[in-house]
Amino acid sequence: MTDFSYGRNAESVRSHPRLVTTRVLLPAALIVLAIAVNLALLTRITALEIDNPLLVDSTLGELAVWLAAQSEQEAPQSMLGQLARAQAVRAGAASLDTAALLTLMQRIMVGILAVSVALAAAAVVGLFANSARGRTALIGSLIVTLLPLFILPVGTGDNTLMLVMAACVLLITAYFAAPGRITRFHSFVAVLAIIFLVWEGSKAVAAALDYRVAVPATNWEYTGYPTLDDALVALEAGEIDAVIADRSAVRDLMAPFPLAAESEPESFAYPNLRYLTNINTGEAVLGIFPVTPAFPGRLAVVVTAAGGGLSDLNSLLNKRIGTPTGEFADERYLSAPREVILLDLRILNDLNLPHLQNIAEALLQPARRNGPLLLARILADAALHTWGEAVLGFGIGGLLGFLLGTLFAHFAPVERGLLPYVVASQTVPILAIAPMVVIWLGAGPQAVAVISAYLTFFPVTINTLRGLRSPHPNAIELMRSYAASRREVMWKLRFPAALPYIFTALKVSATASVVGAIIGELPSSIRSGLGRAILDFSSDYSLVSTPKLWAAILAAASIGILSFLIVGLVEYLVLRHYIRN
Amino acid sequence: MSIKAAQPVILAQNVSKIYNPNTEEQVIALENIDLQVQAGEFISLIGPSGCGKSTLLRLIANLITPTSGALRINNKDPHQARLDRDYGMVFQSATLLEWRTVQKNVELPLEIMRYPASERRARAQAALNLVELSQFYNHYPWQLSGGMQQRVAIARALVFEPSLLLMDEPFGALDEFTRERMNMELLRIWQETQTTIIFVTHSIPEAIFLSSRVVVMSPRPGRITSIVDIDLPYPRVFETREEPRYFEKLTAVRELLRDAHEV
Repeated sequence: MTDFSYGRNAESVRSHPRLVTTRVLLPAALIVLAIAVNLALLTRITALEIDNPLLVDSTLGELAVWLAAQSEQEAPQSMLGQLARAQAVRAGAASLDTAALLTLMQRIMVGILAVSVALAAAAVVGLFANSARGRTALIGSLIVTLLPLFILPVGTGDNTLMLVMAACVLLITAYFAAPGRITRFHSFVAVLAIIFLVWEGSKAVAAALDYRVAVPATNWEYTGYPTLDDALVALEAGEIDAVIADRSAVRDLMAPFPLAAESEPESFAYPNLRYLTNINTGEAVLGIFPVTPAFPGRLAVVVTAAGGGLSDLNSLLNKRIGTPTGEFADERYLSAPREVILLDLRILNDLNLPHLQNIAEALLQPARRNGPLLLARILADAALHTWGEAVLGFGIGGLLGFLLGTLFAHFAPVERGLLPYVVASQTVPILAIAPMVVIWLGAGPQAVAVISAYLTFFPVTINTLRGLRSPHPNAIELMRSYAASRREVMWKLRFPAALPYIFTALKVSATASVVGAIIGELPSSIRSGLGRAILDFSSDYSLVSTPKLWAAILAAASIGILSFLIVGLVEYLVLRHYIRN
Repeated sequence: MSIKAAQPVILAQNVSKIYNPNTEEQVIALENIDLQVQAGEFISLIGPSGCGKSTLLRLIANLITPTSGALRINNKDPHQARLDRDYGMVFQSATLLEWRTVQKNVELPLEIMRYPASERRARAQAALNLVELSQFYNHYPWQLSGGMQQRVAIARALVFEPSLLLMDEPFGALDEFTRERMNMELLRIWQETQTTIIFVTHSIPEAIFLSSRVVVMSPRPGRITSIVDIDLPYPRVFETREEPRYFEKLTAVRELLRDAHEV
């Protein structure tokens, strides 16, 4: 009579032994290729001289230089600096040897590559053994192979970075080609790797496509003269066909071309010369690319009165041109090829999208040159500060949200009256509310927490309300049939039923609380949080500070994700017995 | 025993239930219901949709109150009977709390009735033994089949030993085979516990097979058209469904229902 039809059927996983070998061959071959690439990198780095830019300019190399500098200090402020100092004292030296540190960093890089190779080899073995651990080893190898992207310097002109990326592509392809289930963590790592590769790859593509044409290119030959007068005399003598010079300098020396009606060329120092008032800089074609030469407005073309027809910039090509050396025309226009950008992939340039290595480098360098603390430490402190405010705001918002939701669930008239205002509160931009909150509560963590709570409570309110109303009417009737009190219905039925809804809202709120805290820090003029760091690094938008800005964004994202993960973990622990969909 | 027999478990006199009375949406769900149920009876309420059989069950359970008429449960006001936990209830869906184990689900009414923990455990185990699910005590509802979930719901309804068991189409969502086995199971439990059962169903064979009396109802307005005594002897077994008398009763109830529907 016993019913043995058991709800959860164990999934029977069938393997096809004959197919395994052929399905494993392709991924195995790809992994072996990746191993070969990594071995090539390993030999290259092992062979590096200590002063090779590939080592010195790398993230670790620059860290080594900073560590050596810190070890000279009496009392370094940072933990790493103190560690370096302690090492120097133990060795009985005034400071740590930069070369020794660089060698250490070189060994670390070699070690990373060796681990990557070992894991990849383990993955090949695992594949042939048809073991799930093979796939885990493959993902492990991928993670380790990604590290050089953050370490090896960019712009060294060789193909080192390309090799790293090739190894990563091979490993990712191998992972998806290999048989077996794609787990959540594995696919997360794979997608992260793909993001990194697309990041660097798109920069490489942009660099290749960001086409610049230099004008003048060839055929633009000129002679430099010590002074403007020498150049003009040469022009008068017919040695050259035109002079390019500063417009303000030539304006007093000669008449313009075309001549104005009442002008008297003879009253100028060079009556036989004319400067062109209107030079045609219209579009020209260079090869297959249209080029718009931008002739600097402060330059003038000087020609003889007889040769006044040179009104087109392109017509100056193949002509004999002169210019005073040291003049703007020589230094900035004629001698330096002027670049015309044909395809502007501005979003992907180094200013807007730094290389991953630049970001890693920024994190592992002091914010100011030879500063006592690494940016990573500064940002970590700032993130901790902001996180404290966010957690406080999350707590206030979560509690307020839960209380409001509970109130609404139990008293329908209150819900009908108050809910529209709760909804309306979220349509008011937080940026408009924040300064008022700061004035009311005073600039400080309490104001920031309240601003953060303002963003946090709403999802919790709505989902608590929904969740408390989620039990089936039969379940409510069941509780009534037991003559359960309102409180018992709440705590034994409604609240447990609402928990999945509440946790969903809490996960949203956990990330929103960080955003709220950062926004709240700005009007509170709190200097020690991430809000200030983001503001600082974005106000000075330069090649130096954008990697720092990205690093700050990374720090902000990290605490948001960390909050999310912590709530997710608590959710898992609390709800692990609930129905799994 | 004689006192119990003299006092009906359920006594309904002229009970009516009108939804939205004196408005345009007025619905007469039940009209002039007279019903007496004695202790130990197995009563099925059967009829087409809208005949008010579930309404009658909810009136007895005091989940709703009658508009007029007198309704007594164990010679008490239904409200008092509910407060005294005189009945257990089983719905079409098992309505188990997904976050509680089978054991904890069965203990739920005992928790609300403030039984001490040790007694809760013992009683829940006994109730699970009764539905033959004691080895599944530590499972969660989603790990059980539909039939097993419904048996847990029955155990939960019986765990505080109510004198009355109200069942609202409890096996309606189950497949035919499971349903027939559940019918046998329910009869066994009924005989072991001596509980009075009010059983709402759509299925004529189920009503005949289980009940000592079948209450045939008709819709618009909901009322009782007839009450059929099923004088097949207990214990009823698999072969009962093949007896000529079973088929006679089946035909009789079917015709009554057809007549009720034509009204």
